[in-house]
Amino acid sequence: MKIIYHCYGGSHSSVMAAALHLGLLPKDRIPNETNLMAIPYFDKTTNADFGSIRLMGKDEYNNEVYVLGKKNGGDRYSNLLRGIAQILGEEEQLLAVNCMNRVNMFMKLGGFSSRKMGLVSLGRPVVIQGSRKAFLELVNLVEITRLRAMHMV
Amino acid sequence: MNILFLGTSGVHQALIAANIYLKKPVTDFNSIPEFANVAVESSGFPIYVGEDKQGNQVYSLGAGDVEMAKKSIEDLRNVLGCSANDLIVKPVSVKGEKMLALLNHIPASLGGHLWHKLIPALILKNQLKTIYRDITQFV
Repeated sequence: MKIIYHCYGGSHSSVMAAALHLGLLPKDRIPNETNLMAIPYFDKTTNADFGSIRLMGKDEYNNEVYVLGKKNGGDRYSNLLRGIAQILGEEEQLLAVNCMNRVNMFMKLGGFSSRKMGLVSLGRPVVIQGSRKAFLELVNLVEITRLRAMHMV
Repeated sequence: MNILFLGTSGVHQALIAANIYLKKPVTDFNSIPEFANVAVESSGFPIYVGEDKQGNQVYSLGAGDVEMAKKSIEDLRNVLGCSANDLIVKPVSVKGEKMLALLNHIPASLGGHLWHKLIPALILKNQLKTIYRDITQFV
């Protein structure tokens, strides 16, 4: 199965969710800046990455886990991806997960400053603060997603 | 094979392009099934338009940012182990396309018929030749 976590920029919440899913981040400890910055793509994407589906790794069930930045595509983007998979006859192979409902204001403001405005020294501490606050929400999302993936197999 | 016409709005220019491709009449926009149907558009799912003579399935899809959506769709196609032999994405671009996408977001309660149908029809009437030319080159 292919699991795609998507958020606005594909740089923070989706990347954290994918890292949690793959065990790159432990679920029982709120990560610090070093832990977060060690995640591939975390606060490192550029405008050219919008729309790109990037592989983060494979989980223990051999599911491929991807991340995607879709700007303000919302839940509609999950349907868009699902619709394309349907057309290709591969609907059962895809699980698209919108992470935006787990994103807080700190993540939005920090992410915007760091990625969109290029003000990394200003935005990064804010987005890290927000990511730590959103951590348990994202753990919950990933647990739900893993269960959904198990039911789909 | 599947052919997907992709525009900022899937119920306006992309839908017209798909109908032109299928040689269906498009001069009266109101006769085109799903034209200006913003409820269908808001779902995000591709709209099935028909089948061409070669047996290809033809769809229309709206995605505010066409370039970004094209990239996602082609990446997904590859991720799912498919290729351009399974799905071709044809972007449809017209003048005022951002406006068309924007108009779709105006609630029906604020005069939906005007924003979703009449103004887009005015914009697209002037663009019909451009779409015809684009589709002729595509075929």
